[in-house]
Amino acid sequence: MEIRIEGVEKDFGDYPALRAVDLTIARGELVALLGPSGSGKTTLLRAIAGLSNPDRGRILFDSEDATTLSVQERRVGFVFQNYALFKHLTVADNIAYGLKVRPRRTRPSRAEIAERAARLLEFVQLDGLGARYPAQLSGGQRQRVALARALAIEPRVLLLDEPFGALDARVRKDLRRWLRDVHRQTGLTTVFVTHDQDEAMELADRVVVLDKGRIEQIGTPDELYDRPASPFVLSFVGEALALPVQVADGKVIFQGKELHVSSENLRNGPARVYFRPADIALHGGQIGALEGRVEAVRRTAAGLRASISIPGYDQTVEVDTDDRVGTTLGSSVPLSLNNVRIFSTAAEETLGDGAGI
Amino acid sequence: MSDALAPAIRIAATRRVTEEAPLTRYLLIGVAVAFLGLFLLLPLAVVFTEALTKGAGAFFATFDEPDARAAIRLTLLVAAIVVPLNAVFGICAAWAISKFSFPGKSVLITLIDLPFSVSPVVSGLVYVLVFGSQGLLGPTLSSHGIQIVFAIPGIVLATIFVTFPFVARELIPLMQEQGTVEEEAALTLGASGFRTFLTVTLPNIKWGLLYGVLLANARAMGEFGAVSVVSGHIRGLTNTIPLQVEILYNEYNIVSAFALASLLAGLALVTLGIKTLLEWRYAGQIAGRRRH
Repeated sequence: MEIRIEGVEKDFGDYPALRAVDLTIARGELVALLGPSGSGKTTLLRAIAGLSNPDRGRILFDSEDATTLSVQERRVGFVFQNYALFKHLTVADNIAYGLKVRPRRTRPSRAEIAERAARLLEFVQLDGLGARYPAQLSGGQRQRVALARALAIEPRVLLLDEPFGALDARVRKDLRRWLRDVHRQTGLTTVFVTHDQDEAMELADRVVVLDKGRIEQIGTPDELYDRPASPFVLSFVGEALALPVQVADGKVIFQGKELHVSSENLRNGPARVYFRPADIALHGGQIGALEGRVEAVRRTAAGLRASISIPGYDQTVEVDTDDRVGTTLGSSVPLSLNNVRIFSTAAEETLGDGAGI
Repeated sequence: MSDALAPAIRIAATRRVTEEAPLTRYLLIGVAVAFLGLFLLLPLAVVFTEALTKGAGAFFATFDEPDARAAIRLTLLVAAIVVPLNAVFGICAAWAISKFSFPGKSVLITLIDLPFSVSPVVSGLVYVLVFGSQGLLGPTLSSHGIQIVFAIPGIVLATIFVTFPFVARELIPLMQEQGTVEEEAALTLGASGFRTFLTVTLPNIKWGLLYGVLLANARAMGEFGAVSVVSGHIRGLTNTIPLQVEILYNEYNIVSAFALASLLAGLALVTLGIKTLLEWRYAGQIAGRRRH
């Protein structure tokens, strides 16, 4: 099923939780809603499910307007952050719940319900645990029961709120791979919320980055890494460093010297040059205007790691190198930058197309 | 390890820092037990011994008295009306407070507690002032042939007022702690609101609810002050057990008074027993242990 979100807005009191959100999720797609806490990602997911109503805008399931449908009518499979399993019911009864509460004319027979619950238990690799209570299961097992329960109603779309948030690192890795498999096998349009960019990048076909209730960028993981649309996206999906610069007549000036960075389409005024830690190197390429001072050198398995301070920039940068001679303590070293992106700071949203040096 | 250190370590292991010296400890325990014995256990024992001073025959004869029987019937009737109503009111109030946010919520919480802080006599008087023959609504009601004060409806109303907080107060913290996420899960799975309440909410609060109902019942059967004001003390008609006990006692009918009182005392013991059992068995699912 295709989900189309048109101009959805939601306020919590004075606080705008969602602002003018437009998003189309294709049939069978696996999409991540990524953002820091308070970015509106869970609010958006709950609005899709019908657990909260947007103040403005529409949500369409295929061509049907779902905004006016109740939670029950939307038939979404929702996996809650802390699973929300029914404590007083066994695992099998949890899974069968959605079938048992159907009105009589659409309810499967008792035997059929039991059989479907058993099949789902097998599907989530928990066969034999049907008689247990949720409290007797591990976190990862509970997560899988929650998923089986959501799948039991044959949902039109699968929504997961921080599906791996409460699990330890190793279980998370396993479940990630497993969720990918589940998605492939069911072919369901799947949306999940996460604050973990690794998780989003690894799992999703497309990632929607949210900040302060607004969509910052929608793209494949490649697009987000290689062509981030805003400083926020750039620093949220991976580490980024930012040098404060001035743009004047097509030149990018840092500490009074010109950086050889292409600066087309940039308006004059203050800006920032963003780059990933991996894209700064010693000596590499031509010598630009950027110079640093070696503050410390440590031995690593691969070679050396130098902490370098850059005058005019308040953080030190860590650079891997194998040049023992060039990195004596306190010496000045020329630095080169690759894959930089420049964003004007005057108007936050103006985008510059910075290439490499 | 050196031998010199060993005793010091042993002492440190057996006595925690916050623990008092043995003498202080026994003194404190002794005072508490003596106090309980003098003010709680002794009167309880007196109730039963006084009731039985003239033998089991006199004890049971009390319950053959028509007035005593009427009082017992009335008490049971009032409890049978009040407790289910309060269970429903309590669930509604706790639901509203714990699962929604609305303006005036804290006012509502304070109002629910009002019967705890108002003297029962005052709450009884309020009903007389509202529904009595000289009261606000009394004339209108009596012109329609409805009598509230000095009749069973008044007793029921006063008892509802006095026992209102028990169920609500027990359920509010419990339901607040549980939140709404399981209900939301049931809704996404297609359950209707009422179905969700029956299959998810109610099972989650059942022990807390039972606990609240138990306390409300004990209070409903034992309430004196508020009921005394609105009842009018009509023998065989508007006297509940506590009121009948008072009348018998004032008439120096000591055996009968204590025999009836022993019913209430027995009820208290049963309540206490079930309460302890609930607290022991379902501690995690009852919220109000700290309060009562």
